[in-house]
Amino acid sequence: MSDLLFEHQELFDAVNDLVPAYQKNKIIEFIKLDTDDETEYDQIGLSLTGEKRETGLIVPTSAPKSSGGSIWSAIKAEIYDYMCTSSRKYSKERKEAGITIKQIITIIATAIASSFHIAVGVVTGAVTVALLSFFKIGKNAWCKINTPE
Amino acid sequence: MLKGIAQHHGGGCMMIVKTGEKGVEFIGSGFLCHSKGYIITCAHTINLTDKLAVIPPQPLNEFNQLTLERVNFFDVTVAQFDPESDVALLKLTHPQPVSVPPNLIGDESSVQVGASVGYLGFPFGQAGLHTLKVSQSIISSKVKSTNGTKQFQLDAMVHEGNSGGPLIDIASGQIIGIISGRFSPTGSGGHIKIGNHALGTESTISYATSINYARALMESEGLNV
Repeated sequence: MSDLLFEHQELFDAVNDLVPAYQKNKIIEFIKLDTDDETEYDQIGLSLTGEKRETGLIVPTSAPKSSGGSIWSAIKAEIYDYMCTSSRKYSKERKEAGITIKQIITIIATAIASSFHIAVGVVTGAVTVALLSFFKIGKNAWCKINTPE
Repeated sequence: MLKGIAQHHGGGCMMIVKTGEKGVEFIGSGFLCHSKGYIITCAHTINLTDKLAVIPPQPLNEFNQLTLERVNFFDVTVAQFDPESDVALLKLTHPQPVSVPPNLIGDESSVQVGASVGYLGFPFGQAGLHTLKVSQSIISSKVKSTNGTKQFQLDAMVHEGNSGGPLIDIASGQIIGIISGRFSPTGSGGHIKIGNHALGTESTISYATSINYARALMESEGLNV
């Protein structure tokens, strides 16, 4: 797993192939920022999953929300399982030679989609951002920051 | 004219609910947009970790109970989700044969300020009011939200539970927007609440997101609009 190399072009290609058209520009612009600040990844991830939203002077007229789970946390937990542990769930994928970033995005997004009631494309953007944070921050630091409590 | 809107669109309006161990909990409104079993609603009504379902409306022209004693719900999955523009596309897990009027979905470019509109939804569904409400207003302005999303401003007080319902141009009968929110003179934080109701957030200025964002989601799903 540590042999995985991160190349921007491969990531851009993955975004073009996997992310819905209405989210592509936002993610491509974020990749170009080239940040290694974990909080910035969290901010964009939470906005892509709808967990963080600027409403300004407009109050949403849905029913008041009761507290619920976090899909962004679930995505990061899935990446942690894949990248930071030797769990059986991803043992086959980890052994696979030449696995690409695009394949990892698809694997993680598929796992998340099957755990909840959403289509794979709904989370590919957020998975891409979370995976980018792993590569930019580095395996050791990312795994330490995201160790489940 | 509003009667035509109600009769034409009323049957396609749905209550959006989340289901789980605690039973069924109302979260907003939505509407059928495609015969393959797709429903449009607001993204902000949804938490992606929730199991969602829809409840069809009671018979439109009958005297119905305010509160449903038993509900028949249909499971849905989230097919497309764009929180930036505040639109989501849901899909019935086991699509039933549904009929959707042709040319249902309009276009923002044809909407003019001052146009008469109707909107449908389930205000206060969370408080047990389960009857479809048909309302009318005018397009009082065309605005952009803080993140640039195009919205229609309405001369109306939209209530909690209305989010996700269709905004319909009375002249064309087409859906031109998705009800999304209300202007709050006191902002969105730090209110005094009575129950779940925040005081000081009322106004007769409300908003609907342009239907073009929903069109984009339908096209991304491979649906003919």
